[in-house]
Amino acid sequence: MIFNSIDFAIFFVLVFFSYWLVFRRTILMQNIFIVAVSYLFYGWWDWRFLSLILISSLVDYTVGKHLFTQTNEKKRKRLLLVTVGANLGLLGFFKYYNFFADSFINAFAYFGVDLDVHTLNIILPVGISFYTFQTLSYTLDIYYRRMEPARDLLGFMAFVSFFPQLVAGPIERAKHLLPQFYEKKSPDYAMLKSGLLLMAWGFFKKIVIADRLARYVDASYQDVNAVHGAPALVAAIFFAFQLYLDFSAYSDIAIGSARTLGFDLSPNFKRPYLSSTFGAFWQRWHISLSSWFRDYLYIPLGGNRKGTAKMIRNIMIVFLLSGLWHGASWNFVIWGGINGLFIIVLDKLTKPLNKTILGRIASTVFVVLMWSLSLVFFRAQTLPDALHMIGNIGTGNTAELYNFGIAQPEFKFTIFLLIALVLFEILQETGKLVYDRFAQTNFIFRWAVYLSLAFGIILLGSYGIGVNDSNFIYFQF
Amino acid sequence: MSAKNTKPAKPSNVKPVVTEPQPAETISTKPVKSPILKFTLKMAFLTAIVFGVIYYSDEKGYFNPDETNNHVAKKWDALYEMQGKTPVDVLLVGNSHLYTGINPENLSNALGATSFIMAAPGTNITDTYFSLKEALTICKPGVVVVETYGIDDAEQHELKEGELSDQFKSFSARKNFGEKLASTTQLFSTDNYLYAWSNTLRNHDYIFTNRPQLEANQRIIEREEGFHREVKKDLYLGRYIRFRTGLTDSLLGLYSKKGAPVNGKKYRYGKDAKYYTDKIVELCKQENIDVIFLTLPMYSKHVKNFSAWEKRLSEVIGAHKDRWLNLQTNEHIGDFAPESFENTYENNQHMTYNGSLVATYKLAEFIKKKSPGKLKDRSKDPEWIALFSPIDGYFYNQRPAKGDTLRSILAEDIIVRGIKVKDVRLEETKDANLIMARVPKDQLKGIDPEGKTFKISFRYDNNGTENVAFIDLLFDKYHIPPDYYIFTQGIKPVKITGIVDERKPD
Repeated sequence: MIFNSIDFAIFFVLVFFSYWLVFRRTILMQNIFIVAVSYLFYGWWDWRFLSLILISSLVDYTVGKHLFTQTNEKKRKRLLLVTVGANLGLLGFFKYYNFFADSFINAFAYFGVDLDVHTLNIILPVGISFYTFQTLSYTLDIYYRRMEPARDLLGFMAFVSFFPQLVAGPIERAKHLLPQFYEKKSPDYAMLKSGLLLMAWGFFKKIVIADRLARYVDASYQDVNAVHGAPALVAAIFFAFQLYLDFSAYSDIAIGSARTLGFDLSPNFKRPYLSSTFGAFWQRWHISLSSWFRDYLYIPLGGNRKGTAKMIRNIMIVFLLSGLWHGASWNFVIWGGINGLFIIVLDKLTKPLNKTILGRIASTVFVVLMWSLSLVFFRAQTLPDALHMIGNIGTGNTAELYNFGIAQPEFKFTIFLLIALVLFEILQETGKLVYDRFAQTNFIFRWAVYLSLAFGIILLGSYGIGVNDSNFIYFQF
Repeated sequence: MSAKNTKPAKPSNVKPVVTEPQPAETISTKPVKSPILKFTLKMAFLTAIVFGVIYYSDEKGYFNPDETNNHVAKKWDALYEMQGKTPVDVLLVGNSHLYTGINPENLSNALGATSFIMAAPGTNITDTYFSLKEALTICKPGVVVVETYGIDDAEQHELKEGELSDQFKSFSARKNFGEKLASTTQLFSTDNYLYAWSNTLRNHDYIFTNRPQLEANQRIIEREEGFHREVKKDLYLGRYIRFRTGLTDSLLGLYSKKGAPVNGKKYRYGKDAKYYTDKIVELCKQENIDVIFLTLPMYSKHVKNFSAWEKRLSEVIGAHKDRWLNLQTNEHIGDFAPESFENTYENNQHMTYNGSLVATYKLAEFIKKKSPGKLKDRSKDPEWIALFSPIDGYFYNQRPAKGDTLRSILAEDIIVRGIKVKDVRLEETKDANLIMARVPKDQLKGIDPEGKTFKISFRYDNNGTENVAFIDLLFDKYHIPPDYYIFTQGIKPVKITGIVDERKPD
């Protein structure tokens, strides 16, 4: 089930009322209900893969219990290996088997050896990378003695499968989310309202802006040979905004919907395109994944504590693996590697710029442009396509700008939306509590905003028959 | 991956990356009594405003598509208009093959009963079932004819953009709210429910992509003309002729060069097709209606391996094979000349006006044979005559109406060249008259009338003097009523005083 569907609208209304009117009365009922509706939410896509979530939950719950009580360090390590093996094994099989099999075949073929390795027709289970990392963090935290294990299996299953963030995050830490399944919830009007408003804002970003950008980007990447000059540059920049708006919209809807049920999820984005360095960028982009890699990989590897060379090594390991986490393709690995290099090299170069306001603005634009270029590898289907696209980027051929998916009036409207969005984010960045101020405005203004959001989505949304595939980009990961 | 900025620290001391408060945390909250109730009421209010505006926009028609040629809506308007006034005896259901392939005026006149075509382009048997179901709430025909082209492998919930657009058009044209509501889930996947019901939601992109249509709609709304095509005062029976000219020589040459574009071996039907065909039969059984299946033809060289297609289709039609008029078979296909078919090499070949006449009379004969007594003979009902006598095919099949000064019967039950002739008729028009002889089919047993002429002698008034002349009437290969062959010829407007009857001495 995807958020921007009628199925979800019906599902969510039913869940909301059933939850608050019936099932929140006891923690047991609440958790049974959350597990049931979350499994329904996931099973709507393909019920067979519910077994993976169940296996992951059972393994981590059991191992977590034993890890906590076990005092023998060797046995603890063995237990940790079991859970890491089980989780990464499932992830590896479903997501990476064909990738590694193909890579082996190609590598041997390069040296003239024909390998007879069978690739399999494997369907990638939606959200497997997200819930695998979430459950892994649970056992790792217990292993590092940062937290106690879950009180019962039901609460843990609710934590693993909680539907708002199950398929595309935020990747929650058990320390933050798990205790919330052991609290009795009371409806809070302000939470309900802000949750719903956040959802509406997410839908607006996704349907009105991101899906409109997608039409341009899809049309451009469909045949990279046909895109030259400015259209190629625009396609690269549009994709950067599409990715941000698409994914942050998902996070907003996830956080908002969880909030309407009384749960607090971690923020996933913090205006990344206003970052003036790549280091800052990665503190604001896909925060739940970035911090996961930081806490469970970068720091255990030594972080920046063991000298520059090791720090560079650690950064590159983190970024290459982060690329691979996104997708089983060399394009993603290259994208990860490029971003690692950006941090190591470009942040040093732009450091002097960041001393003045103008310099910071220039540096911010530079970061967004370089990030957009790196995303060409993320978006292109193949490595040659990506290289071709980058080679075609320029500033000429402006007459062709409106020939890719959206015509001139819509193109101009899209630019207007992006400018408005950036200005809105700058306003937020200045520290003004936009929501707080909004909540204090009068009834007429607030309702005008609510209705504008609703009618903006309905009348200006890029949706409808044959418009484009409206799935969220991060669903594929 | 805030790697570079991470301070050396023990893992347990790592601070969360983001500390900025989220909206719900920043707002100062006053406790609210019954928050769920308050929230629900506000949401209901907001939802009511949103849906109210959409409803208003739909009712007004701000986002209507181009309705200029919406003959599906015209059909429904006409059928509802006929309710209680003109009972429908034969209801034909299907898609574009039906309304281009059958001529309901000629069918009605050949049967002496009212027939009506309820068909929407590009739809399949699922839509046909629901259209039939709604139609049966406003009419009670004795016979339902189901055209089989819609029995295909399309699964309703997986229709693609173009097919969906036709499906929306058919759905929008229907008028019974309850029937539409009940059929929504079967006709559309969940993502399309709202599009099916609302032009505003479906066509909201006109804001960017079709400004001229929005402006045209605005003009219609301002002039308060209303979008809905008015049903003309004269009778509309659902016909929509799209093709007048048949296959050209160059296209016929293409068949020799490239072979048939349609391969019957590739024909498949889906689960939906089987299910809804059975539902149609079941529905008609409940309503005591005879079902007839009709397969309209494509040009003989347009289809190869038709037997494979026929075999699969008969699996769907199953027990009702004896009520299936299959015009693609060898028994019939030879009667359809190249001018009977749309000039196209595309898979989906329709029939021309001429072709539709041939198919119509074959159907009329089949209905008479398979459903004897099921239809009321309305040919003597003055109201029916008043409605049907001005329309296509009446004169070929029915006696001229009383007071019809332009059409007359010159002679009845006469013998010409040893052959009994039912009657000889004359139709006067502005430029030329038409003389017509109707010969009972049993009189020409064993003779193929195709290409034959029939010579009759007639007396005419030549400035006060009666003269005798003869004329060769040509076999009319398009109008072949169930019981007669028709021979016709255009004739100069002379005053004919009689037909020479061999039984009577001249």
